[in-house]
Amino acid sequence: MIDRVLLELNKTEGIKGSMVVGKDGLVIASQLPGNIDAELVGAMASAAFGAAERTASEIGMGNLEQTMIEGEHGKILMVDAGEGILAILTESKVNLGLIRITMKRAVDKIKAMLS
Amino acid sequence: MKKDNKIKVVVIGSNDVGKTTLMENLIGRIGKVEYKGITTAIDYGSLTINNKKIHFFGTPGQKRFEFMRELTLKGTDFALIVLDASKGITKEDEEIIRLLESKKIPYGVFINKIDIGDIDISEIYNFCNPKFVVKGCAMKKDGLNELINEVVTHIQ
Repeated sequence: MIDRVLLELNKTEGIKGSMVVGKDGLVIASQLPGNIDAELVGAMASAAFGAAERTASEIGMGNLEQTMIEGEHGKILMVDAGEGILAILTESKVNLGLIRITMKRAVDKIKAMLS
Repeated sequence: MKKDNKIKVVVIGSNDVGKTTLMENLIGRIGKVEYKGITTAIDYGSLTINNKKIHFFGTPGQKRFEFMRELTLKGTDFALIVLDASKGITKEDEEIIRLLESKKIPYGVFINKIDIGDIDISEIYNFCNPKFVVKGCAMKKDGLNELINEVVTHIQ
């Protein structure tokens, strides 16, 4: 179950929440803090990821590996998860290396579950 | 991928026809990605009717954001084309209809701004095959009940 993967992910230091949204913009699974409108965030995240992917391909950057949105109070990292997109919310000060490794492990599991 | 009771409707049309205004008046609270009144990425809102949740995704109409139309159309169950009665059917509108037909996406038409113009319904049926055509004015909430009834009837 994807929710279990997300709950496990959320235990990583610095991660505040996570979700998997389809490339069609519809939420597949979500474990985000309660005050966040998951469906709205999912729609926007998929649009942002899609636009980033299109930009990267237009510039000739090769496959999109990750997008990162940095805000004053936190970050959003998004990675391609096959049929969907894995998005995680983090604190503003995080160990990005650790987060990336943890995300990679989660993405592999999620890709398998979605195919 | 199974979508169990999740329905995606994309609101599409050329620039300034009133897509965002329509979504705001149809749904109420929507999320918008915009700059000075121009939608730059998407609008999003949802309605639950008869136990079905309908997710509405609005698209930008400006030509430079054409790529967002394709992106947003992924996995769509139904499209709602908005036309501007005061402009008539434009070349851009025809291109959008051709895009939907090429992707075999069923669609309905909402003729907006009938307070300041008109489009003959037969003109629309002359060159395309919508599931329905509804006339109204999004800003005045005119025709919106009829529109939502038609959308609900035609989504599977």
